[in-house]
Amino acid sequence: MTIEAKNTVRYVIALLCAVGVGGYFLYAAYPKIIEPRQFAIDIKNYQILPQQYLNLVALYLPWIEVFAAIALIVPRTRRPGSIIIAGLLLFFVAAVSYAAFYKGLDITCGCTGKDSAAAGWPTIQRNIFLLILTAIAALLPRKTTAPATGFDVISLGATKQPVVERITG
Amino acid sequence: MRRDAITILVILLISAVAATAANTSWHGLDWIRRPPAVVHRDPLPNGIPQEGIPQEVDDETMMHEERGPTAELVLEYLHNETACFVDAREHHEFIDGHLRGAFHLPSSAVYDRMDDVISMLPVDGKVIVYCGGGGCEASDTVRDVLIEYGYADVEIYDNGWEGVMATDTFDEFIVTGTGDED
Repeated sequence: MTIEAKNTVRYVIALLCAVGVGGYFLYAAYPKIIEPRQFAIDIKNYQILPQQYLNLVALYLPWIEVFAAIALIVPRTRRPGSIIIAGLLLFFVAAVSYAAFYKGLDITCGCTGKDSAAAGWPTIQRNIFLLILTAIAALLPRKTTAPATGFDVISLGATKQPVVERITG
Repeated sequence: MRRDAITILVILLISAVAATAANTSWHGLDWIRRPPAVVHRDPLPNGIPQEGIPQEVDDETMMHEERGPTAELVLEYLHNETACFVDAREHHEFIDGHLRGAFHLPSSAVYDRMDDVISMLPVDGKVIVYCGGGGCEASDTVRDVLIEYGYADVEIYDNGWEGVMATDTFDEFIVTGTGDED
């Protein structure tokens, strides 16, 4: 497989991971944007935030998910998007662990609005899986779209011809 | 790295603007959530419960505090059909068993069903909310939302489903499945 083909495969894998995670976050954000009061109740059930900040987080967090997901899907803003998404996922893992294992609460995770799964191991596993996909999306190199120059070819070791000859020849 | 930091800040800023715009045009939700008013247990000399400033109650007091009607009173409501019952537990718990005529309003989807609640339960009637019992918070959540929607006479049966199952006096009022919500 040529280097260019490898780069293309990596690019496609990264894109698929980004679209998968970004799509999931958009899907999860929609019901929370439509009904933030329900999401505020879900957050309240975690017993982490003080009462007065529940609405603030319920209104703000879904929109962060939306724009971070879009940033993740767009190649140019993928890295900052992935940083936010990874931060959110780590926070969710910590919150679910605290609620389910430390406090022993039997609550729904509130991840996707109504019909959310219970906060517990399956939720944590899913978030870790999404975290891995996010890392793949961010760390795999992108496909180079600019035409190869003589310097690129030399640096890749594909030819020992002088640069001047490659360019002019 | 600096460009990433700037992009992250821009994303957070756009999110804040979008959240503000959405809340202004759709929801009208207060950004700062105020705790619901607490109705004091001790009535005034004229017998009217006193509504006052929310008070901090320590967890131990909360756990041992009996709230709402007694089991005998709940049975009386069931016999005479003078109160509507709302089951705040999750779907599978409701199917396993609930009080006859109880409306299923799980705290995890309370706003999704409020239209049905308003069409089925009279706003000026007495409403008794119950959940699993033993200090579960689902009843509190559902009660707060019902009050928010204008239901004035909402009480919590604190013993909840544990209390119902602890005695055989409720047996004739226990049904299973989903077909008995109204």
